[in-house]
Amino acid sequence: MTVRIRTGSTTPWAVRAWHVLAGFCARDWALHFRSPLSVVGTLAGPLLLLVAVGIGLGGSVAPGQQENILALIVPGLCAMSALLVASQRSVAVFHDRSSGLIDEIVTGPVSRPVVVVAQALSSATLATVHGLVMLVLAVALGAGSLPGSPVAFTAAIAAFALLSSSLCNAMAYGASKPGTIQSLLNLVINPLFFLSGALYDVTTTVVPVRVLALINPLHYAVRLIQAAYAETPPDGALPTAEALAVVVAVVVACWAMAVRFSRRG
Amino acid sequence: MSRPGEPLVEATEIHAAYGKTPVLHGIDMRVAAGEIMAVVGLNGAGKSTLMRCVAGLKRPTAGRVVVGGVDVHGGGQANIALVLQGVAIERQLTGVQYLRFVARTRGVSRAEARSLATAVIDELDLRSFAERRGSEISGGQARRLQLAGSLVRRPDVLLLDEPTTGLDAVARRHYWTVLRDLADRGLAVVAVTHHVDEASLADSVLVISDGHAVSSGRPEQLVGEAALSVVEVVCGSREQVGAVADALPAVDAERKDKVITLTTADPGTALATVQGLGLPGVSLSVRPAALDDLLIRLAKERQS
Repeated sequence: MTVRIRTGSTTPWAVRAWHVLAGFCARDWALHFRSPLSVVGTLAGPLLLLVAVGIGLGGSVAPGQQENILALIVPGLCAMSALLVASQRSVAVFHDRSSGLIDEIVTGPVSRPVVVVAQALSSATLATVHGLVMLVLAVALGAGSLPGSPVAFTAAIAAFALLSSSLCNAMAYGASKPGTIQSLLNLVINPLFFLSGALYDVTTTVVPVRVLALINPLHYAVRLIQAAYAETPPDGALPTAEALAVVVAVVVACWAMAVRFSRRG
Repeated sequence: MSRPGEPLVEATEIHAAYGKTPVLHGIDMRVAAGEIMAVVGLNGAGKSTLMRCVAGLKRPTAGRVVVGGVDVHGGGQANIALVLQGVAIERQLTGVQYLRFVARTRGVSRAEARSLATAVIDELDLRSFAERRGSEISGGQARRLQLAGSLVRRPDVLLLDEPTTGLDAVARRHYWTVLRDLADRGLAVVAVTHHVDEASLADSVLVISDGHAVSSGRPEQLVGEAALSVVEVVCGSREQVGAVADALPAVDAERKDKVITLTTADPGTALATVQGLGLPGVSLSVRPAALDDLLIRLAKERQS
């Protein structure tokens, strides 16, 4: 049996791009969920932090304070879980690039931008699922409540997942050695997360931390998650539209950088 | 499907550079449908860069690459599949899943990807291990799956960069049998290799050294035109090795333990030179040069 598929433009561009995205998602989901350590590793860290900070501090704070702490850190831990998946997937993206797989793919009728976007979206879907699983675990442990609007919360987690995946993947495309991507994740992504206000209220911190938050793209996505979780934006929060605009702009910039890096021979 | 003999790859006067460092100097390449071309040369000769230029991944600083009538660097989409040695089958994926993934990255639907994967599994006779995971198959089987992955793209031209690296002799021979079968079906196959023995299995050979094409043609034609012989001198001591090596042209002679091998067009002079040294216990033999002897000599000549 011989099945011949034409390489010309008989299939619309958007449909081909959709198939490429679906292909990456199917592969990445299979690889991720067939590696139990990957799944456990991205949930264990946030869960331990939840136990240590949220529940562990329960006896040390004034009555009523524990709920406030949990309301603040539960959405942050959902973001953390999503970020860990994005970091983990970026290492796989590095291998896709350095092994030559991307070069093999773009020799066919699919362009580099399509591949870069498909990889980011594929990582983002996995990261979103992990963020939501973290929420369910927190609620099941009695450490948090369900958000008032699950749809808005899911969308906010997805925005954070897409931003973190795009950032991490851009670094994966820019890195020349496996050690470099690990270092970039440790030296850039982790500080960005811990300075984003995901685990504390940025508005009550010292001025330098607030300034750093303003130039930190993750801060804006974290604000979206916190606003969706609390139903009402925290004091001093950016309007949702502006935060969303920042997220979209940084995501597009990351994709452009990744495409540029990917062209290096 | 292309007709046998129809030119599919036409690279003309290809120059390429990395930054300000030139790596290719005016290389020409012609490959027809049904033909296998081996591109050989020492490390750093520019073989992989040439492959990237033909695949459209690297833009030449000068020259033109036309594949199947399409100017590869002029915005056209040629029907090429590229196989690189570094790409591995993921350990957690089965062969079938890998092939479906590769098909989908070509922009086809799930149903089409399934059909394509099934078709190439049948065509390359991979059924016995296609359902196994990457961690459960041999290196040779993984390479055949990777080759099958390139075929789900239904290419007219197959570009392979050192496809048999890491395989044993039997697996390499089998791999080339598969390539021959694909060429017989009308594909143009270009294989970069530094296993020079594999070049004799190709229809044509392009020898690259230091970014220059130093020779090209059919393997037997290259050997015949060169009319070279290999003189082997087995010495009895290290002192004798030194004396013989000093007497022979340094470029052409190779030393290994107490054996000196010389590829030359004038074996008589070489024999007379060694015999003239009057060394006791030194044995001499002469045989016609094989393709790998010729290729190594050509590559070294250019480097020197």
